[in-house]
Amino acid sequence: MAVLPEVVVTVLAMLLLLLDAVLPEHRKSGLTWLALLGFVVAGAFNLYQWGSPAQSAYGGMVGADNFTVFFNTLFLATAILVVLMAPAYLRERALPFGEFYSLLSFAVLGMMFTAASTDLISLFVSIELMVIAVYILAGLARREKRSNEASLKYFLLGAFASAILVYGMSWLYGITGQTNLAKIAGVLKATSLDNPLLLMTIALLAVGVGFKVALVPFHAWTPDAYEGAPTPATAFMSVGPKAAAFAALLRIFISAMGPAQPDYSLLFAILAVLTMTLANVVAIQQNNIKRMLAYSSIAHSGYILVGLAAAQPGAGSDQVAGIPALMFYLFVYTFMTLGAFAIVAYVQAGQVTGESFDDYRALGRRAPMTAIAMTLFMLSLTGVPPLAGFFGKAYLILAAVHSGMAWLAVAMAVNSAISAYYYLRVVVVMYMSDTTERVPLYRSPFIHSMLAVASLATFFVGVFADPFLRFAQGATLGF
Amino acid sequence: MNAPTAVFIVLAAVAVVSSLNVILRRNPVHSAIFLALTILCLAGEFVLLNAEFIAATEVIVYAGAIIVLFLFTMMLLDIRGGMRTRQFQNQFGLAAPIAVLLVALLGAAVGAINISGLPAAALSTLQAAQLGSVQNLGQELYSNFLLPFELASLVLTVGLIGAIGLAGHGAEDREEQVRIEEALEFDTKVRAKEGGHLEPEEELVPAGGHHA
Amino acid sequence: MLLSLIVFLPLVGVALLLPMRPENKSLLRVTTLVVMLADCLLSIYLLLAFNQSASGYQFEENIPWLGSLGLRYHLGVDGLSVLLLFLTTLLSWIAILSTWRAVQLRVKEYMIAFLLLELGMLGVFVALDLFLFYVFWEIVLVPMYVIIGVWGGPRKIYATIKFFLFTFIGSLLMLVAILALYFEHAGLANGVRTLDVTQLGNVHYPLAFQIPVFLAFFAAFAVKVPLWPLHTWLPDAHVEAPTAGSVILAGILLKLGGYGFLRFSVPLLPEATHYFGPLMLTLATIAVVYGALVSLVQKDWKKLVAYSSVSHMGFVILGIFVLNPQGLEGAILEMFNHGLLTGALFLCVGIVYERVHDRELAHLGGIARYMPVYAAFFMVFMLGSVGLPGLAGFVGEFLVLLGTFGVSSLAGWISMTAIILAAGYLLWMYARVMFVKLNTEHYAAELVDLRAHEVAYLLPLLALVIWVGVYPDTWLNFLHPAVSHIIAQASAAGGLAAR
Repeated sequence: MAVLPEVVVTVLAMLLLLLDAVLPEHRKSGLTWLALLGFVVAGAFNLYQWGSPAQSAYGGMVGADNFTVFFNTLFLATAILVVLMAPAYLRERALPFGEFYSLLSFAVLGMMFTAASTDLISLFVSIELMVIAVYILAGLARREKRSNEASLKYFLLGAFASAILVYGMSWLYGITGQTNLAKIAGVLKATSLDNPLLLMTIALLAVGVGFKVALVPFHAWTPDAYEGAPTPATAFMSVGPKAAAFAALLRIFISAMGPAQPDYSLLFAILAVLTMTLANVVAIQQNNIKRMLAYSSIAHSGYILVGLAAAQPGAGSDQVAGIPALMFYLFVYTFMTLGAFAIVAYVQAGQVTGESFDDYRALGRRAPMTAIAMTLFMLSLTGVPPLAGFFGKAYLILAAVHSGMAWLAVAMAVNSAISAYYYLRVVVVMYMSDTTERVPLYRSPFIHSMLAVASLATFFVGVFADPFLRFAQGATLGF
Repeated sequence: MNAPTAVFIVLAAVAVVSSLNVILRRNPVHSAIFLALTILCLAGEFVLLNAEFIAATEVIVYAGAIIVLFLFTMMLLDIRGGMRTRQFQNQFGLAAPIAVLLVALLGAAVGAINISGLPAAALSTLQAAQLGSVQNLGQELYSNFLLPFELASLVLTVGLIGAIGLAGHGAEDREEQVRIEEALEFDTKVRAKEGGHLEPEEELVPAGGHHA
Repeated sequence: MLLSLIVFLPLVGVALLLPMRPENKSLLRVTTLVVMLADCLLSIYLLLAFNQSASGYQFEENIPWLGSLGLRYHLGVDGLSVLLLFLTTLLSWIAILSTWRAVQLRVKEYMIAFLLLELGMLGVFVALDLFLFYVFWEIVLVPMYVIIGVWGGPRKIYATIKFFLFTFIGSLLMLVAILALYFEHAGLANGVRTLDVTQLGNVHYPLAFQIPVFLAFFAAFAVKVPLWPLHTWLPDAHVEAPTAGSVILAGILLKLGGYGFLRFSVPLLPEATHYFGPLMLTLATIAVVYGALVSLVQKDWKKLVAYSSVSHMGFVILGIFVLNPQGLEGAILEMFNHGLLTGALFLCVGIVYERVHDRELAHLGGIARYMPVYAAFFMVFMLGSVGLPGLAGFVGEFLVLLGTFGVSSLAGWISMTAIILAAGYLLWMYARVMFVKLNTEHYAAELVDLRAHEVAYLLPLLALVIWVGVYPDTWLNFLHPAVSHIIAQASAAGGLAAR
């Protein structure tokens, strides 16, 4: 059964929705356990499929191969970590548990089908399922104006981007006559298409997906949406849908349009440099930590895009091709970003705002373990060895150098140095400044275990990177 | 030029002009009516493509249901305030050249199309005349397109959750909102008074003396 | 296993410290000290077990690490690394002792930072895979950043950010160069993907490739050395760092740069080394003289010593790029000596600073009257730094100058003046601080002579300074095979006759 994990998540989403309606208010925290259980079961089914021969289901609409197993692992891990970090925050702010978890499950379902799609139609519907759920997640704190604004902005720009994406897909269909990704690749390989046609298609698709992964200049929604959304939703948005959008990017640009790689490689390289540079420069000026992390997430989209620019379709198992580098970075990025956002949620749980850098004053003394974890995440995001973020960046740089774009590698290196400035600022505030404020910090076994998992992953994926590198490499064999 | 082509051109021209009017009109009621016109033209185009079912849904769902809903909403709201807002933001100067560029690229791409050189569509196994028939559509939806169809139903479910979840619960919500606003405002003021942002020089202040 | 044990022993220390209560400061200090002393004993054992006549690397460990990319966990030492390894383990415990009392705040974190710092530095000196080297290289950065940033002086934030950005940009450029080397080697060696130093050197890279790679390495190593004009972070960092931080910074961190040039730039990129040789000699000469001149005008005691480091490290670069045995051996010995002497000078500055909390030269004077034993120790270190024959500093500088005159007498003559200038500023400083009578009566109560633990850490340094000065062969014997290997690679691989 190729789509068993997806089925489990669908059932989970429905179950959460039903139970939310029938359970009495005081027993709703049980939904947390149910969500955890569901995602873990789906994860187990998913990992079981690793290495089994690639299958196709529903008339070629979706496939099940190592690529989907990799991304499903990523999505389910994201979901589990978000479920762990959410309860404290949701309870403090009186946000609805059931809606949060079931929307989360629907979004995860959309993400899983996005990565599994082998057809433009299922790809588009899956993306829509994911983003519509996330629009609502962003606006879940409906009593806060900022959350309303976040949701609305995200929705309007996202709908616009979806329109452009589907327009691009219709062009792709128009010039190839196919909606199946593999068949599109076959047609593109067989026929030499007129350049303006292909360029137009590439441009429209790049803009459409570029919105979803927040590439400059299509990033304008990101800081507002990230700032306004409830923090666990922000954490989810910055990782899950982004990873799924990258999966879509790979499906479209490698599975389907791989033969056109020379036409778009430079485009993505330029977008990558633009994205990371602008985001890093703006991030330096932020005083709200959620906005800072939003720009940091944009910058990381830029780094990840380097993998696509340096991709060599057909390189398959070649260990230094850009695609495994991209996927490995997504894997690493998941843990360190979720960890950072979990700490943001943790620090602000008991307050109305709690998002400014000042709220982190002397965290090193108020909560030593949390501060150490935050330091770990910040250093990993900067790219300091031996943490996971470093190996992710090194692998991407490796791919860029390999594909002959040393300038891209240098741009990435310089940007990492710029980013050090604002990541280290958090460390500076936590350890080198003092405060008399004594905001009580929330205690929740969920969030503590989540932080433990994320920091251990950030550390061990770094020091013992090899199995994870092989995981990413094994997942790209299909290309 | 044969008759279908002539009809196509007329409908397309009307669709473009009326959709321009949708965004250029200041009065939202006018915009909605032009939107209905645009959709009717598109329905006509679908008929030309032998897609009668889609043409019918277009008319029933969009022109019939959605636009009527729009108009009802507008009647309930005060639209005169909206009529005074500026339609063009400051970014217009930046957006216009990009739009022109996009149109030029589109034009170039369209001009480059060599219709006969394009690969045949995948669905051409069906006879063109049967393509849009309800029977074929149903068959396709429940065989080849089963998964997207089911996913679309999930999308609708999510949309429903959103509609219910995001709708407010009246007075209780407004009170809570006021409380949050006040807290935010207070927070900003306090921070402004304390000097707010963290500057390197501030570190000269000895430990504990910062909030004194 | 011995090398892994030496490198990762500090990690055992961290594991021991983690469960301890932060209030139990003396237990934390003693544990750290014991671990570092044990590490030092292990490195002394390594010195004794090391075969001085054999060429190549010894005590090698070589297992796959990032196997899918062909990267390995490859450790090994030659004469060059073995000396620096010893220096590192020695200065580490000395540094801990030097701030035994001065650091009372967050002792646990302080000790952990120092242990991690030691781990990183030791790793750099033994890693034989460039990627592994890079990982250790960067590990050093964070604890040092924290040490200056948390326990530093008033302008610590500015100093740390400057320190971090300078070194981080440099090392990231090096990372790109390392990866470029990875593919260039694969291209030239039938697709063998490796970053093993022993294999990378077997291939001849085209000059057009060597030049950008050399420049990227230069960005990382020259910042660390620090070579004029990339030295500006150093005085700031030194002035703000706590004494122990300064000792490690001057004693070992600066050596990382010199080590990098010796281990990677010169042997792997011989043609670029020759190509940039004149430029490097010019920069080094400027650094030597500039450091000395700027030292002359310093008002802050610590800053004076910091700038003298710029001058002394200039000698190291000079010795490396003259590319003859005298120069190279002199450069390596000068690194060793500089670690001992400048480390000791910073310790001496720290001892007085801990007592009177002042480093303005204009405010100090007549200390010899209150602290005679201290004055005696300090004099030996000061004279050693001046380059008095019979003490450590002389041997290294003499050898470097000998090598320099063999290549460029102009550079030799100009560098010579720095020794005279050094005599000027160091003697002036000594006279000023120790003898000139000022109104220092209000200090008198604080100026207690050396305490037992202070003698305990100055004494080994004193002994080594005299040992190296009187009988340098003990140490030079370690270097002969390593240096001749480097010179062979620098000349043969490029197809150039040895100069």
